[in-house]
Amino acid sequence: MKHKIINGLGRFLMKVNALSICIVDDEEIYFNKNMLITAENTGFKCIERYQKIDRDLFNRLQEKPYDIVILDIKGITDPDIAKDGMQVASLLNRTTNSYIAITSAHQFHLVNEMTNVDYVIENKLLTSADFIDELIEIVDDFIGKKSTFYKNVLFKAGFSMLKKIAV
Amino acid sequence: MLDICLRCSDRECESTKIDTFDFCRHGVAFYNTGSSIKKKEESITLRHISHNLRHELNKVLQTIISEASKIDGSVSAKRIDPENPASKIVGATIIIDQFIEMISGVNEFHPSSQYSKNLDKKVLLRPILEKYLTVYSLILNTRRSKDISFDLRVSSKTHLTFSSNIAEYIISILIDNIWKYSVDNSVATIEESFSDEGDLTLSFKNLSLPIDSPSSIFEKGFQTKKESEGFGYGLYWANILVEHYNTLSKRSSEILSIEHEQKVINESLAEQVFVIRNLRA
Repeated sequence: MKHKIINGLGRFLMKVNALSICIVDDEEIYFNKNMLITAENTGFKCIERYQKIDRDLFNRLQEKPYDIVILDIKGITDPDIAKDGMQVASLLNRTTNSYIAITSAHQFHLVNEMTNVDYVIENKLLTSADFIDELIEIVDDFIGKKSTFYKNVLFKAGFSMLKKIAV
Repeated sequence: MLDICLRCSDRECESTKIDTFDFCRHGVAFYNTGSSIKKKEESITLRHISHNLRHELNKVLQTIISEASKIDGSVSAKRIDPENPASKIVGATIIIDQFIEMISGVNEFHPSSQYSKNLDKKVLLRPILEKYLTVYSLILNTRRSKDISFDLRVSSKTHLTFSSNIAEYIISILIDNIWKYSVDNSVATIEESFSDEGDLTLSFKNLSLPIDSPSSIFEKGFQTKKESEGFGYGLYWANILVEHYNTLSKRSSEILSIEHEQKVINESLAEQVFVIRNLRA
């Protein structure tokens, strides 16, 4: 009962002051609908999922930066936008305060290329529960690294409640 | 696409019997009609095959995992429950993924001198061990060991602190070997110890039939006997991973190593001891 109340309050606070999260992956099966529904039910209310970065999204990423951006490496950009997700990650890392995570099914993309980003999602096969674990780790790191004390203060309070139950 | 036939001087396909359909040693499928050699497909380099195998199949494997998630939302690829059918599906998928990773290993574990964030990720050791002890128990085969129990002498607080994906793969190979080669109803022990510098040593001990030439155990193609469960690549692959780990870690001393020792008990029983030394913890 106590857990249920804390969980409900945590999720409410996370909703009121939600973090904006953008995920771009060309393959629908990764970060799929089921995972996003689970994330929403857990309290991550503001996740936008795209398969490609078009000009509008490219501008949006720079002009109104998301709190967290998760990018696949290959197949998410047209050549006139950027070479690949890694180049977008590099640009956003330099020009915005977004927390940047990259992911690839290929280990060698994550090791060989420039990885000046905040987080690397290296688990290749994720269940919905694994995705939530990964998201909690990313948000935790974001709060420690890139969020100011006053920003998203209600979200942080709610998130810390959720984490206590999840751990 | 590279057409190796143009560069092949020996043309062994032309000396085959009429009506032969086969692959030549360059990997080109051919059919000898008697008057001509018909190629059935373009030659594909091993690199292309392995790279695309991983790229294409990963989506299929993720689909299986996602569907298992719909059956039971609590299943995880990090913890396998052999009593839960959805979790068993996840576990079986992990085995396929491990196998594909080995085949495509040339691509997946190419070492780099560049810094990567995931190299320094801190990961708890014990859940990794528990995961693979369960994952490999899922394979039921007449030649695999039955009713192996594990004595796990590893603290729940021990972490792997460097290139944990490589360390995890090496560990999974040694655990798979225990499940393949132990005598039935035996106990296998996995034990940790630490050097003065704080590096982790992991020893894996199990009882098996004696091996004839244990000094060759890490060589490619090594098999204990003809009807062996393995295909002689796992331990060779583990050694390649050790090299990759050492390239990435840039240490000149206390480098990672795997050693093997056989202690023959009698003509039908021996203790096999594998020791991984100098894992960063």
